[in-house]
Amino acid sequence: MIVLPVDILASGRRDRDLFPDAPTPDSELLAGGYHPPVLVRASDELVLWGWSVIRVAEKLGLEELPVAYFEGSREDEYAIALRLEARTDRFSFRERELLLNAAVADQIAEETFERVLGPHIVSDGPVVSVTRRFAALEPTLKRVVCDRLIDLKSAERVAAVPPGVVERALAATAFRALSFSRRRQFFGLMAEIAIREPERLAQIVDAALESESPEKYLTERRYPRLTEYTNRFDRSRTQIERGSGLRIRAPEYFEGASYRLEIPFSSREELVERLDRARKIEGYCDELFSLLQ
Amino acid sequence: MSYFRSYSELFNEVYVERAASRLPAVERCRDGMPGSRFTLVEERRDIPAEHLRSSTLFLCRPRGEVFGRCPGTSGHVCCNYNTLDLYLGCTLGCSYCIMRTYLNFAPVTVYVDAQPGIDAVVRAAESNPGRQVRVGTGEVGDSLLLDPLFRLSEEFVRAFAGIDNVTFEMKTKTDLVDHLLDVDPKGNAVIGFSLSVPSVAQQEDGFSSSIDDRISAAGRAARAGYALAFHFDPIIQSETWSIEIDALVAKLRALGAYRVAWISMGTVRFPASLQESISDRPYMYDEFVPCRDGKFRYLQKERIALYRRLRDLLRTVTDAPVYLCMESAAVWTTLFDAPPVAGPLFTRLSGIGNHPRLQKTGSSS
Repeated sequence: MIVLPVDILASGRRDRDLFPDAPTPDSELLAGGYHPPVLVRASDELVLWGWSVIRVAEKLGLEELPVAYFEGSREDEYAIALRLEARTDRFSFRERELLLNAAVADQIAEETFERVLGPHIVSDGPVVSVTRRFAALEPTLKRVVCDRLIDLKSAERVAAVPPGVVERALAATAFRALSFSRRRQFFGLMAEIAIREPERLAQIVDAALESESPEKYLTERRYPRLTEYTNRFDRSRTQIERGSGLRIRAPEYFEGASYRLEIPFSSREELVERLDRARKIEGYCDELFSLLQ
Repeated sequence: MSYFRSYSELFNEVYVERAASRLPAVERCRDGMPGSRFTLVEERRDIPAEHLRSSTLFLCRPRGEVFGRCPGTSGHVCCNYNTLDLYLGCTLGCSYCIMRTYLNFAPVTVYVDAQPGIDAVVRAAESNPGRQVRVGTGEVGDSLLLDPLFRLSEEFVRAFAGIDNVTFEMKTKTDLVDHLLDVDPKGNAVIGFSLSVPSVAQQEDGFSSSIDDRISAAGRAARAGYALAFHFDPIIQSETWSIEIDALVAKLRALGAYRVAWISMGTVRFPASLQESISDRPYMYDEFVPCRDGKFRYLQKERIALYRRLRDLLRTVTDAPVYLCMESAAVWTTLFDAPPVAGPLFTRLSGIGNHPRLQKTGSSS
């Protein structure tokens, strides 16, 4: 087995230190010599894979590490490094960007990257175009995507939102307490309100973050007319249903011609009484139908 | 039209199905696109993958049934329109076009043989005497954008001119009518113009003709003897819509005396699949709700207000039938004071309403 001093390896060029989010190698395996060897280019001893191993070896105070020499095409170098990493579908966006930039700097065409290296990075779907989308994000958004606080698409949606507003939201405990899907919803609504009411956005987002349900608050601001209809209907419904035993429902999204009235009864007397109450709904008809027509 | 000087600018490649290569419309296309590369293929799948795009033209004989009922939309009222496939795909690039969801990676296809379509419509007309067959070529492409090149519409106009119960509509967002003005006889042929308020047309109608140019073309078509149709679709509301629609209807009034076959209205609508590709359009940030067909529309009350305003304006200009495109029964009933299939409107719009389905015989070859 070939070994090289750790300090020599650690002082080498870091062109291929591309996996900052790799899991930490098992120190016992490493100390026992059971870990896969560091991959080194034969011609110039550039470390092609194994920087996470070298870092742990330094921490453990190991003097030497086993290495394997490799000489091949640039595509092969990246492919073997990716195979040793064995993390298909688990590379972070930051790593994907580092990989793509390094490969392009090494004269690997994007088409080749996609075809030869892509399958080692994700099992399905394009790599280059998605990575480029990530690369185009502002640093704050890159960070939160990498931290899995929001997804790439949601981050892209808020590209038009002033960074200060985004950062305020990201820093807010109320935002971080939301589930992933609710955070997505929040970001989507914030992006749309940024277009509808740009001058009031910051104020609206602040108010949302102070409210009981931030994304519900934003939904109401994003859909003010639907919210108004809903509130008006709820006022009528409350009056109609109060103590009557009746239930009235509006068509979904106020899309339709008719309301539905439910009259549960368990005796003749109850039926008569509730029908009498139902007749009084007539007084609400103008208001109810003004929501549909 | 100002956005292209010749059809060669619109299309980089022309593929011709061998079986269609000797048809007159192909010859006219060759004459109209001098210098363009024409490639003969046995069938569509011989077109290289890199040319499967809207800057490629594919000329072929019709495939399958070219005549059929307009698919309408589920849970909404259909106006019993019939469609003839002729130009499939469009290069106008209107932002709201549903075809963007499925025709982006397809060549613009032209069925260069009009005869199967003519035969199918004639058969339907003969087997439905007393019923009006409303049929148009504007369902999956603009009826007139490419027509000066292929001159296929005039074959339909002439073929249907002697058939009383066929009303043939060419629907367009262009002003390309001049090649049709001298066609004689015209019979019940209708040239339909899609109209929006000018600010919306300018921003959302891609490379379509300006509204003034469309109205001017409507005037020329009317003076030549065509009946007109107007399609206010999609209606996109804006802060200036109310003022602009007044002015637009005033322009229709200023056209003078002309025959209007029908007028349709429809507010902007889109399926979820189109939502992302139009997310940069300002109108997307209005309030939309999902409807029974899964498409998003303005709130019902808002739609009714828009329709009511436009309908009332139109009534000052014409007594032609006004109908709704892909709208719910609730909206129809509110607007026309009667359920869709029972009202006087349907009686006036001959051919729709009195029969649940047009009877068709056979199929186009």
